[in-house]
Amino acid sequence: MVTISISAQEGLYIGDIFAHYGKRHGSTMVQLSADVLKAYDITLYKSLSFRPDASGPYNWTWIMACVDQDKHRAKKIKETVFDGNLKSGYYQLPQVKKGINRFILFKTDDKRKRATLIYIEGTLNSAELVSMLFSKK
Amino acid sequence: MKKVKNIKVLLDKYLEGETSHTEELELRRFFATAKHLPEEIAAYKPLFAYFDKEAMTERQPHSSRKLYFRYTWSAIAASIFLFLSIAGYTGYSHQNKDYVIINGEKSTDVRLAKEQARKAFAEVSFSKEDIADDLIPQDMKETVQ
Repeated sequence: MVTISISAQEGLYIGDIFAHYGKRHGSTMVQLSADVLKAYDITLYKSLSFRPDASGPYNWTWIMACVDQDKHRAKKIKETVFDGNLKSGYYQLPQVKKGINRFILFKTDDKRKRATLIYIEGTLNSAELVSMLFSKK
Repeated sequence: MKKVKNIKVLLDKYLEGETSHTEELELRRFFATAKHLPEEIAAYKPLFAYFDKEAMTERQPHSSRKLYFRYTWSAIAASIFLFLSIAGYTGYSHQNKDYVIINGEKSTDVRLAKEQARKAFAEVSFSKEDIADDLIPQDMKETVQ
């Protein structure tokens, strides 16, 4: 597994997921900068909605391994696990730039066989993020 | 109205990469001809308009002189691209970075990008039904310093 050092998710394994699935048929990848997201105290937003391969080297196991690697660096973790499988994960990573928090949000949808991965950087804190997550559904 | 409903269904299929070639043609035709689009699907128009523009571009035959200039300009363009790539690697990578890529097609339409960002965010969000006392741990409720 090779991390992408020039991407927004510098040094994170989820960068590999964005790189592998971002431009594929059936995927939607978004990147928004601070110019668009000032009001939310977010300096960078990146999301990927995709259908993981059922088999092959980049299957669910690979995706879970990428998420798991980054999870080990997280300072705050919240996961929902069902039958031993990760359903959703909310991770706050250590800051690399002073005052800029970093979050990974990950959720799987078994019925649609899809997953959603979000990376957020900004001055917002975890309480503000959770409050946004409650209000968006 | 029924047509719009049908288009919404096709758009959902398209976003999941499940549309057939015929269905994608139907979407393109719809966005190319529709005069008044409902707010919820208007954001997709630039995406399909872009495809149409690309498809309508015809290739013209080139003379050898034209080809010479084309190669020269290609070399210059390649040099500029190389320079910009290096600049990108050394600190300019965050500039001009608002985009959405759907089914491998990139669009810099901010409205469409925001719409898809909202959609993804909603997918990872909690509904009231999801909320249990233990769902959000104490530490996620705390303010991070």
